[in-house]
Amino acid sequence: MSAANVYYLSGLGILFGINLIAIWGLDLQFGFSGINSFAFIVFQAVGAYVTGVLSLGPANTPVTFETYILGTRWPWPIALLFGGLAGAALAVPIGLIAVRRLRGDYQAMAMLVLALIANDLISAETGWFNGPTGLESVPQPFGNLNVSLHAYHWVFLGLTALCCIVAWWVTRGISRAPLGRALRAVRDSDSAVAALGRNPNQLRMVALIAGGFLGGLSGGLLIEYVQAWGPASWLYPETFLFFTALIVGGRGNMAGAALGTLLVPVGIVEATRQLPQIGYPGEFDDFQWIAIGALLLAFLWFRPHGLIPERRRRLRPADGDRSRYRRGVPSWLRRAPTS
Amino acid sequence: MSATAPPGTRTLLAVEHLACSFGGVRAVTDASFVVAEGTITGLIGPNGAGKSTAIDLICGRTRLDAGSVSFDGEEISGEPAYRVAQRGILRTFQRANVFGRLTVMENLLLGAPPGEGERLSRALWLRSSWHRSEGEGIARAYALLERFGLERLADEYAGSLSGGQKRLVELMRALMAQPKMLILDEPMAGVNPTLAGSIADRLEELRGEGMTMLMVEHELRWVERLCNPVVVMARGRVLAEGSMADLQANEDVVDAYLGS
Amino acid sequence: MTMLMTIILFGLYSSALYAIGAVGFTLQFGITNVLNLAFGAILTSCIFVEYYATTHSTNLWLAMLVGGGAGALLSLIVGFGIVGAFLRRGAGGFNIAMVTIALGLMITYTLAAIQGPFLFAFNVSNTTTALSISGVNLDSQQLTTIIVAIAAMVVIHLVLRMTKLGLAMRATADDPSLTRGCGVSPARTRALAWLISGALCGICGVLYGIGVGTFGPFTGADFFITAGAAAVVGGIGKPYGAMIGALIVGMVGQAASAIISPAYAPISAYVILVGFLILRPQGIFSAFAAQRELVA
Repeated sequence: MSAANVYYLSGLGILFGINLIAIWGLDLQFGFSGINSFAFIVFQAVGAYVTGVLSLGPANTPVTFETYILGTRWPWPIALLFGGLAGAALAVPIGLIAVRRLRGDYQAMAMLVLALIANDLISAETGWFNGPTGLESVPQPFGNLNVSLHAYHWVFLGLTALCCIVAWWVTRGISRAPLGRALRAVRDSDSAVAALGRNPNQLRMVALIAGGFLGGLSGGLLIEYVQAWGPASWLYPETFLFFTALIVGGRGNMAGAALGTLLVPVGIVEATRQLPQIGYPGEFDDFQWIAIGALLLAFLWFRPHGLIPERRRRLRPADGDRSRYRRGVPSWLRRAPTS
Repeated sequence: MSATAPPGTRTLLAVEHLACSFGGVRAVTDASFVVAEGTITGLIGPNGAGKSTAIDLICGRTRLDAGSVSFDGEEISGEPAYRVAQRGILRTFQRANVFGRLTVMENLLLGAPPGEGERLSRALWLRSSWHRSEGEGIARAYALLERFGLERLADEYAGSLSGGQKRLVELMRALMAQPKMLILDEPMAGVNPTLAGSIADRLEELRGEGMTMLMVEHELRWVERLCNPVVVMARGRVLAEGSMADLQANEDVVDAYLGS
Repeated sequence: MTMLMTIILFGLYSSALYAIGAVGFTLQFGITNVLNLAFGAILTSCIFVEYYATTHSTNLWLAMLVGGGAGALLSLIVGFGIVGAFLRRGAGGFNIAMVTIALGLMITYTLAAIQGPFLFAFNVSNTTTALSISGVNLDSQQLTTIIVAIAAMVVIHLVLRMTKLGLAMRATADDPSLTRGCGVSPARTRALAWLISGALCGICGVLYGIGVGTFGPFTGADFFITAGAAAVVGGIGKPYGAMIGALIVGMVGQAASAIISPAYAPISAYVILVGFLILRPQGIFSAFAAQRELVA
């Protein structure tokens, strides 16, 4: 395999990893908890921006005409962590506005409008993240290593894999714990969850925050990879790229999300980049989006549960538990059925 | 009209002068009654009397306009639904409210009070802190299923069950919480007579074990069999209270049912 | 005085635009219970259709005819046709929202592919001042917009209150099972709801496009924020509420623009929208949203 192909494949691997972290995050919010998180891209954006301004160093405004807040030169692991934390923090206002009292379609609409507003605001307020131009020349992790471009890709791939392991640990932990069960219950019935002593809004916030952290982490990695990030990188349709991955691959389960990530953001978008350029620069992107819309419609019609549906969890008492528990069981539970 | 428990029993739940209106319609105007410990207290009345609304008010699902609710001596008016449930008052719903996309076992496990495993920090590490209680919960849930003779449904998605089976799951789920009081909103509605009879048997057994219940029900034969005392509501107020025999002799009650 | 007149006149103009769009959006949601998130895309396509079909004509009456017709047709296909097919298949609330999103994406990016990298523009150089009060001038196109909006509101009001169709629409909004007694079939009621809201969307689009002058594939999406804000403020699903909401959003926006700075016009709309979502999501005239279990 030629060096160029290897380079290309490692790049795909990096993009797969970055998208996987984000899509697992969305799965926590939407697949598990039923939040219509149509503003998810903003979590990724805030993570990217915060990681960027924490790594870039102070803005040299007279020379570069850039303005942005903060501007420290923190080591990349800290900047990355704070990108994730920024995503988690964003969950609080978004939760207050669109999750606390809204449900269903209305929540979806409110989230969509929030994504539009966020993009407009950041574009206009040049002082925060350098407005429409965005951040550039973000330093890369291990950037001062004197290695070739190809070798650096492997380094970054390793870093991405590490972050994927973190995301895997968070998502799997929640999925397997009773917390995951409680989240899945919330999406079916608010009132029943409350009638069982659990606060549904608090549970939704947990999902929003955890998913937001993963979204932010994904954004931090992304800006460190492409070294630039501006409003054009996070227009509202990007959220639906992630949603398509979940709907195609299967929501509410990690394998489905991974399959969806492979097929949609990586498969369609990246692999078809190999095809020749049609029309004006960027026109191909337009066709990709039309294809994404069509793919979404097709799956919503033929296979709304996705390729890998949620797996059924079979729970049985361990043998020791059964006999042990029968002894301690109150009499009315122990008695054999009389009818 | 205020009421007190019969002599010799303790009042577990007391509601006084409850009032609530929706969009101009006064669903509950001035309702007061008590539920004595160890009884199955019935709550009956014609359609639109405000029975289900009264339940929703007690359980914190709907906001009180006026009045007070106290449980076991403590004031609980205005508390949100999850707080009321944490106090040990478990309720079932008029339309079977199971978690359709979870299995029956998972539904039952959610009946148990929220444990350490439902905290984010514990979900991520210290699995040992909840691993054991999860195992115990599973054993208890399965034992409960066996008790009701439904262990073959353990892994079925609750959404695919029949109406009667859903009601049973809801009831079992409430029992998992080992409640101090059960509030049942029309538990027999739409259930075939055989199954209803078996549910009635379970409820009697529970009462025998000391469980206190408040039961809204339309079909009077179950009320006659299970409930004493019975509270009658009509047009948002409590009309009368007493045993079924007393009520059948009460002209106001008869009028309310026939006249509405 | 001049500032006050500026706020009032341009506020009326903005409100007029938002009203036509918001009433269309909210009326259709109220009757069909589908939140059409492809609204912005349909709006933009109507501008495009008008641009091409009439070769950049800025004759408002022609534009409204073409734009309204395109909107009605597109809305019927999207809403009654495609979404309807999914509904008949039993698709649930979230899936329907995703369907409208998918259709919106396909429409938007088809427009983008057609348009290429350049912004389109209407040639609106020769504007004649039609109304002048206290030195504040509204040109003929702006005045026409206000008149059209008022006329549209009156027509909607008459349809809702005085026709059998209107009765059926109001009944569907309250309880879909009631419509059979009204003499208009539920399917026909829904189809007409999509048609009317689509026509309003198209009319709004062309008036907005010609009014602003330049437009692109994302024009409708941006407009959706303010139209959506008006609908939320008035109570989602309530057309009369949307009219009031549009007035509020338009006037406050112009006031912010005149008093603080023009950049604050959109920001005030955001603040109003977010404020209502946090404090009173059911809008000024509630009941509808709470009834449909959209607000906890």
